[in-house]
Amino acid sequence: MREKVRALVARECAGMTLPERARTWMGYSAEFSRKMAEEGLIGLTIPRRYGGQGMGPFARFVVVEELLIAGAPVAAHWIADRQSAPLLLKFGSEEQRQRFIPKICAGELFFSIGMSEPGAGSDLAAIQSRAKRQQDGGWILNGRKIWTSGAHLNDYVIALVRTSDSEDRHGGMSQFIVDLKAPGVTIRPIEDLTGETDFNEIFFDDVQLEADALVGEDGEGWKQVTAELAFERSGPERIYSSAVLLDAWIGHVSAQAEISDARTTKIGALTAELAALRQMSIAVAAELEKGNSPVTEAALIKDLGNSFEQKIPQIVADDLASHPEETPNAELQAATRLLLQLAPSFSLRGGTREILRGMIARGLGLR
Amino acid sequence: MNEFLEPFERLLTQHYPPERLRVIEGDEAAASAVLGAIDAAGFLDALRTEAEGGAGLSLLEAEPLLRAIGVAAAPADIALAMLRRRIERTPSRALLAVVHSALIAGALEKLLAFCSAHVCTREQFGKPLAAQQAIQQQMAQLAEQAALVRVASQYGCAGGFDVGEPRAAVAKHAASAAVPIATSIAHAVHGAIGVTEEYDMQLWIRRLYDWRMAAGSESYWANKLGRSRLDQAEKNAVEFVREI
Repeated sequence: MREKVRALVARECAGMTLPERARTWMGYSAEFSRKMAEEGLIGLTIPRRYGGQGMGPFARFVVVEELLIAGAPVAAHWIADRQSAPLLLKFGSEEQRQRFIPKICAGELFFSIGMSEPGAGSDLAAIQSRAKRQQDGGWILNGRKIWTSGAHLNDYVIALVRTSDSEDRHGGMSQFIVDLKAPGVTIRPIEDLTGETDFNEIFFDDVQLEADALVGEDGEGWKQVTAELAFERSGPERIYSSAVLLDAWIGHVSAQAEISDARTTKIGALTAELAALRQMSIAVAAELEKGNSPVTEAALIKDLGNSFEQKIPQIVADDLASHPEETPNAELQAATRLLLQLAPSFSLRGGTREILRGMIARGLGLR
Repeated sequence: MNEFLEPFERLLTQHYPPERLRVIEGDEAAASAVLGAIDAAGFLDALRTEAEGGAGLSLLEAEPLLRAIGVAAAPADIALAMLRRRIERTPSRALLAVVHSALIAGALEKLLAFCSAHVCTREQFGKPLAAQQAIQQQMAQLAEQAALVRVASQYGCAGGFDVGEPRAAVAKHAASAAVPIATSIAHAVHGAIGVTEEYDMQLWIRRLYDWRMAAGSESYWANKLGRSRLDQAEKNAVEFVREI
């Protein structure tokens, strides 16, 4: 598995610059995703009858780890592979599974996540978008979603919306598969602080959905989305987002004639942290392998991992600028500047630090 | 989990209640008398080979026992005595570091238990401390450190009695670095109660400070690992850590 990924990356990513690689799982290339599918590297944990490889979470861990450390542009298929296909497998109808999952595994269909709204960020239960059931069993969808990565390039979004009013604030929600090219769907890209357009705002104006656009049960959206978020949070991408920069910085330092003890210690501390976090991530994969849903464990590793990913660009920036006699190459400087700006989002996407710590506190029985 | 753990935990609870922990801290003769009782029960032979009449546990199999010593705030000498009956030479600093990461992992488990019990019962502003988000956020961080060190301890012990320096570095760096974070939180959520002699948590806190420094602190091991990493800078991080 590992060798297969390395060979693919060596073949396809040789021309990428360091700042391009430093984007890791934000780098988008539909072409690369299709090459991965040709090698059977998408849908590793999906059963073979749906076009997957029928392997376990460890196989996925290995493949994901190798892609991230190389900085391969995996964003196109990332969401579909990580959470949409597993969600459809778990809650979708047989028809939905057959219609979507084989094409996801073939790298032909790409998905976005439709959770956040302008009035519902961390407080996801505050969503207002609404789908109304029609006489013919179909639905009319109105509302908007925001921070939707890749919506301007992808094929579908799985949106969490209200389908009924409920006393319980976690009740009355449902998930729908929405074609991003359907009439009534407007996508407005939002430029980020680095000048890239990765995320979007999506407007739904009287979007007509067939009856079979509903995923799982009407009203069970909260339970489903909780399961989906567990897929989203448990993977090794929560420790490797700055690993490309870490390696490049180590390369720069190792080329210096004299290396201070303090510098060596910083490099060793980050390497030790990475190794320990990786063991934690492997432990989560072992729980998934046993069929458990390690919600608290996934929150623990994500929070620790995010803090680790976020401090790397800060430490590298401080180190480089404390050695004015050295001339780090332009790519290393550009990658540092890029990740300094992107790193705050690491502990926002997939659930903020504060939300995760609240979940851990619940796991401890404090709330 | 092996069949020795539960009786060992019982033995530690019996022989190292907090009042005795206070006595043996300053009394070597008393400490060795208690150690003799542990020996009499056979547990110092946990690592000794079966050919020599011991249980022949691997270091990884014994990791829960080492952690139990930390949970009880019992002396590190118990672990060191076990080691001396398995390996003839003086234990390497790497091996001692791994053993101390297991002790720290255990003590952090107990620290988390102290804090959970306290914040659930102590009321301020008309509700338990546990209901305050500021407390919940800190407790989550304490739990993170305890979980991380537990994994690091198991990883270190999986290196066996001949554990290499890089693996020991990963384990002891995680364990030692967790100590200032975890002890600060434990004190913060306890308020002034936590700095009294009377409240037993202080016994665990003091051992954590000692064990953090024993066999090399986090920076000692970070420096060792940093040298090794810089010598292999042509590898990427995954290649490097997989070979540890």
